[in-house]
Amino acid sequence: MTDPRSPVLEVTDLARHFPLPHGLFSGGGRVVKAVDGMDFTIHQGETLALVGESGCGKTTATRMILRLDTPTRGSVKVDGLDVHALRGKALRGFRSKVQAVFQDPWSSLNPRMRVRDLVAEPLVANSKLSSKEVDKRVAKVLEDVGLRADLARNFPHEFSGGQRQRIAIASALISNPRLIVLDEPVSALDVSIRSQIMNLFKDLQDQYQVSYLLVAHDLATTRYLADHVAVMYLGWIVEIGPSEQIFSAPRHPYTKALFSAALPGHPDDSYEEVILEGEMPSPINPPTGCAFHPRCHLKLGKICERQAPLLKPAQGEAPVACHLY
Amino acid sequence: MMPSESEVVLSVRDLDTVISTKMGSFSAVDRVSFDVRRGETLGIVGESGSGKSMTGLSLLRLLPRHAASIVGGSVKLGETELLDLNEPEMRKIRGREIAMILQDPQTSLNPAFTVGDQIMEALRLHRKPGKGGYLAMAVEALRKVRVAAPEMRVSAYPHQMSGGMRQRVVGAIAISCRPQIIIADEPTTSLDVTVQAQYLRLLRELQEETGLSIIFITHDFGIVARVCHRLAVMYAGQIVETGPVRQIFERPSHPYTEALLASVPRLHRQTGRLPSITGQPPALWNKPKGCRFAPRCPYADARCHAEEPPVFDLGGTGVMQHSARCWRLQP
Repeated sequence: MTDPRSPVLEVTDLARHFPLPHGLFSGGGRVVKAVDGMDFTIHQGETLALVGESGCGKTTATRMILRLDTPTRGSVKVDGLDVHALRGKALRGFRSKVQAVFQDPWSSLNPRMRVRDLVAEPLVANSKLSSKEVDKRVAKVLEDVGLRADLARNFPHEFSGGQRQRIAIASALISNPRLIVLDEPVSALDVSIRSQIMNLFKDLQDQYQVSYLLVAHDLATTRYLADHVAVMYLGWIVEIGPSEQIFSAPRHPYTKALFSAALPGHPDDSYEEVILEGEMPSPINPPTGCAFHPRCHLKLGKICERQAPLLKPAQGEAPVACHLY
Repeated sequence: MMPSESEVVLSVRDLDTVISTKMGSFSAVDRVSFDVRRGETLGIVGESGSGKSMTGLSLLRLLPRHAASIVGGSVKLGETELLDLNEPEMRKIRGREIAMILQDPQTSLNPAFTVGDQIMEALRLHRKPGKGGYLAMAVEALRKVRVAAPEMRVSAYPHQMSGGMRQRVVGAIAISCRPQIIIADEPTTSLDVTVQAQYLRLLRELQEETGLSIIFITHDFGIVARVCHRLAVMYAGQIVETGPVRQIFERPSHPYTEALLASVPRLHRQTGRLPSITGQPPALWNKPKGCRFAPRCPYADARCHAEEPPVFDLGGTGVMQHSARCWRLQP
């Protein structure tokens, strides 16, 4: 086993630039900087959440972490090994170490496979266990996610949304992964089912000591599940730190605006309405300086337009990328 | 902010809508009753399959023909009984008196026409041209929904706009004929949170300016807390609780409302483990006997499993009226 204090996931200066096609009217050589330099780490048994609106780069980042896309710059290390340099056997090892649960259990489960085969797939693909041994492991993990083991013979269509998500979770867990990427794992589920699945994630984390990288747009869900939060805007992390600290005292103007846009839990919940004007600018033509300055309600002046602020840690505070600090 | 005892503009009583399939007929909307007052926002909250969208479609009689039909009840707009109107008469109500905003502006706008054309389509059906013709009215509608540079945007196509802007255009179409009521079915589900906040603020402002009534169909209690005055909670085709929003948040009377409110994580008041509701909502074709929530209810007893509870009145009149469908409330 690896040292529990060394990070499970280490992302350094991660960037992905997509070249724009040479069109009739568009000049060549332009790029979309979907992710432009991200740094973060996740330790064993911890959850880090990436929050931000559509187009902020969270999906591109998770794709690179899952090795579904190649970074333009930077590295992704899992247990100290550079994910994008892995080949052959080591790569198969990575596949069983990092798993994912996606948003929609209607499209993430192959309708023609039985639950047993769906759940066992990461094992069968990455290790050489006897069929009997696989059955045993499937039965165990199904029980861990709250499903009866005898349901392994059934097909996905025989299950409800919440149960399907449990099957997807079982499949992600069976190879004893170090990290599971949870991409909007409860947003397709009914309200009364969500809290069941959220509690299940917490229980399984305690039991398996697995780390989660959570991508969710619902801030209350994030707060409930995450130990650390990274707020993204236009391909950058603008603020990162412990969940408690960021939710109780957000510092970046974008984080403040994002949190104030979150819906209240009660009609009497007080809120400071920082309504942002407009929408996120296109990453094809991002604003100069700080990418957030055209919508910022706390803009200082020329410096915000000219110079991009760096993500810098302040004493005892979470790192924030803003000229205010 | 709460409209006091203003007049009731829409009164729904015992509305019954049935879905017919090869496997038989199921009631999707079951004896649903509520009132909407001028300037009021009524939230209809429920999970998928609870009948909330079917209720919205039934009010406008937009149900898919052959597959679903209204079999009973009454929907009164002022003095007019909508269920007695023929199709040409009903067409004069849709858009003119009651307009609808759907979830996804991507599919509710036609990609082949400019947004101006699509706003004017509704205007030509229902209104006489004003001074500058229909075009000026379309520009005015866009200005009302705070679209910047409406004179230019009026000739833009939907694909040239962002999601939030497109949903504003759908809003412009809805308000262009000055309806009394807008039915908004999950209008912000496809929007980002900051854009959603802008849109909810816009709806609130439009309501203050025009005295519009809104029926807001959603699964999100946060939206209800922010924009609704009254709330109806639906479960398995029935309204299980209805009352003023603040009162329901403070003292939910139906066990389903209580459990649902407790299971939603709160951003600003973090507690320990989230309570959750066991099981899942029943299928329409397989509803339990007795109370529909009984199999998941922590308080259920023998009577709950055997006999369906009626609606019990919990006091209050008009906008303060509060009632719920649960045996425990029997006086």
